[in-house]
Amino acid sequence: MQGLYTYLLLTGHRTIRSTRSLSRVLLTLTILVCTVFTAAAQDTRTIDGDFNDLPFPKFADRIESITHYHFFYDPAEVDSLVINIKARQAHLSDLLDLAFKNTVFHYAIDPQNNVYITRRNAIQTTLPSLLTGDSTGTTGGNDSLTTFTPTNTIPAKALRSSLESKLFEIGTTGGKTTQGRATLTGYIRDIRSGEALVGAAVYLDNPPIGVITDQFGYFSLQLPIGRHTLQVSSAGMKDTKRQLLVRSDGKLNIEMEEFIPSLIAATVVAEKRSNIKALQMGVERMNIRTIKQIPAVLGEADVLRAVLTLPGVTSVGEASTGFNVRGGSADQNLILFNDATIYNPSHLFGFFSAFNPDIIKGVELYKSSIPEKYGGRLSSVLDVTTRDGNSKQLSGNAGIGPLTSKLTLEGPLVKDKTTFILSGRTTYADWLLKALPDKEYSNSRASFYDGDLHIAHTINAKNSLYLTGYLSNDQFRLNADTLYKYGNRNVNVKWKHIFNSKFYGVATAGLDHYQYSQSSDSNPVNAYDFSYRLDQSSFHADFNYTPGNRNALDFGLSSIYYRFQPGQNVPVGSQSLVIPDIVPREQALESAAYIGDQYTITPSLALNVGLRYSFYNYLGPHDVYTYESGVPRETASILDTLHYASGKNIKTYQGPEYRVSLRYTLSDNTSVKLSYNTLRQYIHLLSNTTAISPADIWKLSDPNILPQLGSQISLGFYQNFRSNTIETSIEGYYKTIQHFLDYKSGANLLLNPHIETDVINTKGKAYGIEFLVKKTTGKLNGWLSYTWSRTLLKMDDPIAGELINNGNYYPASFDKPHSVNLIGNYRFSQRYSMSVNGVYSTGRPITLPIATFDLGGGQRVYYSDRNQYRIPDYFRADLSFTMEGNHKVHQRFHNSWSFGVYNLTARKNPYSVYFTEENGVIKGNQLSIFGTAIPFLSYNIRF
Amino acid sequence: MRPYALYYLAALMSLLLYPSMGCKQAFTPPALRTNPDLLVIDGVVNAGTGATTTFTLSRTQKIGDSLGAHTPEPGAQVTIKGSNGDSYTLQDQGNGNYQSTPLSLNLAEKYQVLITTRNGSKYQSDAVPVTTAPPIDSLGFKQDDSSGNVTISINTHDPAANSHYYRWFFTETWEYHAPLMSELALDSTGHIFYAIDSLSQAFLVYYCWRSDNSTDILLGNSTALGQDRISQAPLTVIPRASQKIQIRYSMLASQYVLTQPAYQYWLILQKNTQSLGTLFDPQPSQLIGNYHCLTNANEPVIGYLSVGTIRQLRTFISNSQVSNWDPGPYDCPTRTTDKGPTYDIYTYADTAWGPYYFSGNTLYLSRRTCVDCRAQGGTLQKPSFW
Repeated sequence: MQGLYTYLLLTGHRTIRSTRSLSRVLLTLTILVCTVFTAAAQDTRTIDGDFNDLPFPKFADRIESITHYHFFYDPAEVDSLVINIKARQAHLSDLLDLAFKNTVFHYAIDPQNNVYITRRNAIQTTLPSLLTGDSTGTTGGNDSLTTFTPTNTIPAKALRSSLESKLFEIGTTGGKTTQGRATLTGYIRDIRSGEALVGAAVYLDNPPIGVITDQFGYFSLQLPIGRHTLQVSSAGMKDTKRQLLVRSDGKLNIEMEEFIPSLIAATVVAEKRSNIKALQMGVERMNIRTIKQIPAVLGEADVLRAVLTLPGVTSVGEASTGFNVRGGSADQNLILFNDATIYNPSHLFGFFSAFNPDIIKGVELYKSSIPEKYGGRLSSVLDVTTRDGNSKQLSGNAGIGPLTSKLTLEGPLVKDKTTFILSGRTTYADWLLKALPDKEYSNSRASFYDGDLHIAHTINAKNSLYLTGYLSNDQFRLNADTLYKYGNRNVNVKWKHIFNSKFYGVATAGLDHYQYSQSSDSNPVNAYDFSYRLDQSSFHADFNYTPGNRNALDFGLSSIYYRFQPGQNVPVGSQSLVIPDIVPREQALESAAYIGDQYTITPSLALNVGLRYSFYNYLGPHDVYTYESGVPRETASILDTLHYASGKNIKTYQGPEYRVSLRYTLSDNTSVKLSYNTLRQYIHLLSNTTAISPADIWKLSDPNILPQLGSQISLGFYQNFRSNTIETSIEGYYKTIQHFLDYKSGANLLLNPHIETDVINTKGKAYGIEFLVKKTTGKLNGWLSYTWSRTLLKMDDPIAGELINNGNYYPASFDKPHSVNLIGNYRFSQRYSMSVNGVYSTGRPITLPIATFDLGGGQRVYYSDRNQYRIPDYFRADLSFTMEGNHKVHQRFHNSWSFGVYNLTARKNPYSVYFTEENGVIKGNQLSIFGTAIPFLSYNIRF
Repeated sequence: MRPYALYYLAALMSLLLYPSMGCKQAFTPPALRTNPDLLVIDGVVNAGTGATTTFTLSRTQKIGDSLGAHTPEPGAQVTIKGSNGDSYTLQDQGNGNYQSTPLSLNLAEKYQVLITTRNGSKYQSDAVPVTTAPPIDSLGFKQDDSSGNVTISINTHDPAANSHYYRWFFTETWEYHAPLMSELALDSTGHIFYAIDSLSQAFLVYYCWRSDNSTDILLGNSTALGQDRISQAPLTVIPRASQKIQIRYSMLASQYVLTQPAYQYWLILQKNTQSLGTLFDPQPSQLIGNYHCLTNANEPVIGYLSVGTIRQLRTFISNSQVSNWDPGPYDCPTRTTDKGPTYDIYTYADTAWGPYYFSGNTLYLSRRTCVDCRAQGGTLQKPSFW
């Protein structure tokens, strides 16, 4: 009874933003010929009911609820249409005839029970009979049927709406299906640049199933066979949808347009429900557009500072790009740049992050349920991804600011096969140093640069290759004396292979490198060169298997080989008496296997269960000290030195890590989520300063230094309002940390071959609750968050010797109980926008002097127990304006200006409070980093 | 190897970002009302043959209290005890000072200090070995080309390579002159008279000497070097045109050797008070010395006992050895009075002003700080070594 049927679709000129809408028919039209099945016979049931003063959309809803009809219309067109009808045993066509009498509206009903509402021109739901010899549709209205002449011209603005109304046939009748279901796969991309969109939600409303695109913009979704409306939404992009007729497994690539609200007059009914429906909790995504909206110091858009505006993320102060996620220390964050591990993501000792904003696509921060794919750090994963580069044409971007200049080039290398993006950024801070009135600094030099290269290559439909290279370097010379240098170098290659529509894998191999050095030759006797470096080579294979919509499996293996040179100090010049001091290299292998399943138990209940098993080997060659048991570890308590040969396994640590999360949707826009995680971390950052510094050294776990263990349980409640344009959430968490390293008084961390004598095991607990209100669309958008949290540490090492604060819990340096963040953006027009950033937090804890005394000829201070007092509260407001050049698409250059003020109220927020003895007198001081309002101006040009 | 140089660098970075603004402000902490009232024991047992040892006992003060006036702890019993059983009691000099008679300690023994305070609390140090200081090789100075400041530094070495950890303190003495030279002087009753002819030049208030002790904790270590050598460790910086080298300057540097834990103690104290205030500050460390309270084990005691020989070296710097060193100009206006009888004793009521010279019937006066060098803190007494 089902026969092939060809139908004509009319498309219009107007941009339409509705689930159920039909393009307005205008002069330029096109014919899209599709093949569809004829559905069951037209719905013939009659309608009863009183429809009084109903706006048309509500009327349509009611009809849909009692019949099989589906309405398609443009809400903007029908907004003045009110229905007043009493129906008794009426057919829909009778009802609509009556409703549209004396109006400009027309309707058309096709054999699939789709009802199209248009103004002025009725839709022909069938081809003229000369083509098919059949006509099953009915039309009605005041005018006679108009037949349109098809043309091949598709105006740009019509394209999207035409794609949205076009019916895509997926697969073939005899194609592969599984129990009445078919797998749809494809890529979601940016229509302008062809770049993959990560984290886009691809879903159906009914039945409620959906997936999120992976790092390549790829998705795989299992659908029941039949007719569906596939919804797609992604942050910063216009929501779109596709009409599907699914017959068997198939592919569909979808391109999305950038979301520029003021360019579009139509009503926006966003479908951003991913915060409700996603299984993960505690995941924050920010695209570069959002990051660039946040006013930044000296106008330099900064990925890490943007992350600091998120709930649950704090830092010890403004000069630190080290951040603390839910009470974790700064070294417990895994920072990935296209899967390369970045050990020091900062420039100028922490004032700026080392990621060029022009190449960044966005960041994702996992702070609660960390996917089983990731491991090796306790607190969070910050995944920074770059763009793939424009696949359509060569283009570029240049920026000039007070501190840096940067240039980005991108484009196709091989048309539709290979794209590249290359960027470089450098500073000219030297002139600032020379401008200093103080002669002391005039001989100082500061410089940094960073560069990125990313190449994406499509071998064929099943294989793609990706190459990422990253380089950053900082140099600082103080008074022509000591020279400091540090830098990262990373490279990795990814190969993605699609086995079939349900199964794909990614293999990644990479090298990561970080080094730090300082040298001085001003005094020939003491001339030295101190340096340390670390290298890691990693390989991982990650697989994704989606056997059905109820299960999504991911599994894989990973292995990292660490080689650390913890420090060496060597003489410089023939007169130097410095003894070469080289701390022996350390090496270790960290391997892991993981498997996880996202299991949709019922449409409202979903569960993710993951297990990661990590395995760590500390490898020779190395000398290992053994200590007397039960007494504090000191050089005096060393019993023996054991020598291990190269490659010999010295110590193994291993253990399972559990990742469980659960989501229960209470309604379409409300859900509850629960998650529990355990994690293990085998490397430690040795830092005895409040803020992490580039000189801090990483240390591998060894027989005397235990791996850090962490666990977190969190519970969240999510609710969206106003058609999901306002998202709200409350998340609470409790986490524990074990074997976190703290330091003995006067610990020596540099060039120390037996670190274990200077460190103490600490355990920590952190808990808090985070409130977030976020408006994602509209002229006014942004978010407001409030976090209450505590982070407490305790030394409970029985053989520590001395115990900080007598072994009681004390607040960590980044414990800031109250924290409020406001990010607001208002777009006056397509060219002008304004952003506001407000930050408030409790001052961080410090150890205050509580008494003075005379000793050794001067006044000295006696300090309180650790972190018993706090510096004054922190408050800052920033403002920025962005002015875009005009939006003519075809001009050669697009430019934009941004200007603003950082720290608008010029509040002198203390970074630290300290006491110094100058000429025998104790003085209290506070140091603020940005203690005044700092205006900035920057210029960007895109070509 | 100086990782702490990073601190200066970081402070510089903050300057860099807004050159015209100071980012450092005075900070008065919220009232910290409790004074822990801890005992502070300050003193090094001088193990030199026939040397005397002085200890000073005091109590901690609240942060808000006026500085400099520490609370002395008099009336205590202070005893040095050797592991061979020798015992030496120090005499209470009042004001919290306790002094020994000349002692001859055995360099091979260990010594400890026992203290019983007025309120009956008992304190005891660990027994520590005697360290022997090598001689100071030289004291050098260098004037910086751009700033014009003079840095005095110390050089030493231990051929036996036993020392490694050094601590220094110094006494600096300098001669300076009042800006204006007056032949007139005031006697104890405030009468003006000619100093040149009548009594003696002892009344001349033009030539002065002043002394100060070092206040910073000065430490050095040679553990990173192939020899036990300290090269040009800075002791002090004299700012350009300071009064100290207006005429002639002298420094008597003292050197003693610390044990490794003692060095650690002073290093922590140094860091806690002298090196804080930048971006990458270390956390203040707990200060745990080698004195213990026997009557209350939870009561912290401040101080670290070291026993050792002390080596000294004196150096001089004359004004001619430095360049561009003129402490002036001074604000020295003159004032006249015609009431003064010539060649007779005369009284001038305003003590902020002092006599400058007579000319005819007129007495010229200038600010006392201009004509009386003692107004700037020195004494007229020429030191014996000058």
